[in-house]
Amino acid sequence: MLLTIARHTIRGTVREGRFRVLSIALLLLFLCALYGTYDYYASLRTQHAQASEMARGQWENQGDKNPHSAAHYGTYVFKPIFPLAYFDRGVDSYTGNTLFLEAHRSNQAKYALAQDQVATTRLGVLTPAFVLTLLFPLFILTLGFGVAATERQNGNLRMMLAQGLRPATLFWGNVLGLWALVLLLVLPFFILGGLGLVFAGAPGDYWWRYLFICLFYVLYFGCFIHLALLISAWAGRVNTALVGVLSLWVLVCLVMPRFTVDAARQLAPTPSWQQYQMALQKDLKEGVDGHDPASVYTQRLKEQTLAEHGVDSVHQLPFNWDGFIMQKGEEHETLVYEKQRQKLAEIYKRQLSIHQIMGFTSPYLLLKGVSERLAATDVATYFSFLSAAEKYRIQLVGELNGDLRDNFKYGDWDGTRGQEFYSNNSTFSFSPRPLTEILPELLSPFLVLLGWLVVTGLGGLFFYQRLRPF
Amino acid sequence: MILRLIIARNLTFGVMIEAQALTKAYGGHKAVDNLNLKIAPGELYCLLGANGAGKTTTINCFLGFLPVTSGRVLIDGLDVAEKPLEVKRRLAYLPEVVMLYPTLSGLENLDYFSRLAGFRHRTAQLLEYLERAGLPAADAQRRLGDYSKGMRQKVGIAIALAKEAKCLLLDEPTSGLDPGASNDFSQLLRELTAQGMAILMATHDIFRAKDVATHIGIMRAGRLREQLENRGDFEAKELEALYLQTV
Repeated sequence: MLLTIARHTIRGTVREGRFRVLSIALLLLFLCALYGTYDYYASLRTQHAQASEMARGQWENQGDKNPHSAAHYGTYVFKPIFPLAYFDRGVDSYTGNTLFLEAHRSNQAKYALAQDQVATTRLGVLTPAFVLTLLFPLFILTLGFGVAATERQNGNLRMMLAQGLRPATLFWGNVLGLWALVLLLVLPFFILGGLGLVFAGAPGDYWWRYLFICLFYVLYFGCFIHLALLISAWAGRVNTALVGVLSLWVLVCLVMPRFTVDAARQLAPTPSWQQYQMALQKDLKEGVDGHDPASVYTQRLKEQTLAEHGVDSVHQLPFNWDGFIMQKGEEHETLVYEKQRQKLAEIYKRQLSIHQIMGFTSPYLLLKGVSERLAATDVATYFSFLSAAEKYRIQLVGELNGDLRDNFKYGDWDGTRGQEFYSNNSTFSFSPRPLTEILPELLSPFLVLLGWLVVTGLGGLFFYQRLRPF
Repeated sequence: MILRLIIARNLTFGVMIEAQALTKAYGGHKAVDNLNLKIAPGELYCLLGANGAGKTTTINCFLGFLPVTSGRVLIDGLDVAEKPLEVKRRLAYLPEVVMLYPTLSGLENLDYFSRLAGFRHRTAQLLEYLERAGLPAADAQRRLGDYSKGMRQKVGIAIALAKEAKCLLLDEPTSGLDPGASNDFSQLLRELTAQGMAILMATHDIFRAKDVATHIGIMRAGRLREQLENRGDFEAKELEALYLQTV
């Protein structure tokens, strides 16, 4: 019986003109999004690889310099473009992807992708994830809103119930039919979406990530199948059901995400750039400054170091005082930057937890977070990149100051190092967290989505059982 | 032997469709008021009455679509309120406007509704039901969207036939049918009653009622005002006069 109704649901839907038009339009849109973003990211990946190579080349061939001068000369690092970025851009468009590393300063990332583009880009970019998270649910709602309402309004329900059909059987048959149809429809989208990984020659980890993304999407679409049937049975009339599903889509996919962003900003406000800089400068002044020998903190450290070594002058120290003080200053600055960064990260963490809590009210928010996390285009990956870049900066400057401290005499600012030395300096590399680390974090959104699926399913069943044939 | 005879008599002469003091009220308004009727196998009971007399409400109560306010409705001895699914297995229903799926063919509609009733008929058998209902095989494969009202009604009849039910509930079944189709339909009803089916038909059509009914009841304001057995001992004109006098 269930299969009969499921088959009938599929047949009835497929034979409708709107199904054919919408599914073809959606597939074309998805192909455009896929081609557009893949092409863009492929060229961006090439540009990044070239820029990284160029930056390293500049560093190694900067000429003969004093190591600390080289630290001031600085270098660039770039946030890598990960293989799934073409599928879901996440926050990549809005966060800087280029970082200038230099002594004493922890700079902010610059050159967000959206900066290069027209203002309308900020409204959202057509990506495969955009089509699947925002438009595909609308498509499902359009397919499902009339299922029960049309049966009731047209009088078919009367005939069906008179045949001895139970409303619950009708509901499960409709659920089965729409699930089968949606799975069948989404399969080409998933296969086409995976082609980007093939072309990018992505490692196995990214295939698993993509598989999990697909799994979450299936659950997400299931929620909309159940919601469409629930509203259809609740409304009982086609027009009311249409208004109902459209209102739901606007609420879940458009209003709630914006409301959540605003609520997160209100509940966990981020400091302005000026406030951040002021706090930074205040903390920086309360410690050693390698370039200010007259500062109280430098003088105090000098007295302490001389006493430790039992000498009267920095000339008598077994190492180069300049290199030592530069590194001490660097260490203080690192602590200050790390402290401010931690404060900021805490605020973002609180904002993210607000997003996660609001995920209970909108599967869209939930799925978006999961998709970005698996594609490694989320805020957490961005902060990991900043943290990795900062660690690299400390390491690199440490190598340079260490060389100055150990291998140069005090006051020898004319001493230099050449290409051989700079070629041996550490290089920067950054990889997102492995999937095994991310998976445990996905359990909670998985359970919430499952909860949505069960609750909307039971709700649909409830309203089907209350369906009156007239 | 005696027991077999008793069982046989009960099967042949027992009551298939029965209303016991059936009352259906909406607030203070009684749509059906204390209705009592019994229809045995092989009988066709026509409920006549003006719009709002309570004919369709009575049928909806038999279908279990409306809960009764008081009294009982029984199909083959089973209370509709207590055994709704068992009851529906025993009855077929044909509404005034048969609402089927316009994107499916007549054959597909029949197949689908038969399956919902738990029957899996072969195509040849389905075509036979359609033909018996008056729809030629050539039309059976066409989409229902292209059908006239009469043709749709025939598919509805085929659905009722394919269910192989003991009782048939008809709500204004000939409304909108052309005279030829109505005549065919009457013939079919005669065949079904001859085969032992119990039929309850709500209609406005006095002449059709006189033509096919074994029993006729005239309703007004929810009450059954007149009941008569159609032994062919009165003319349609006399029935019309009684009807007009009653309503």
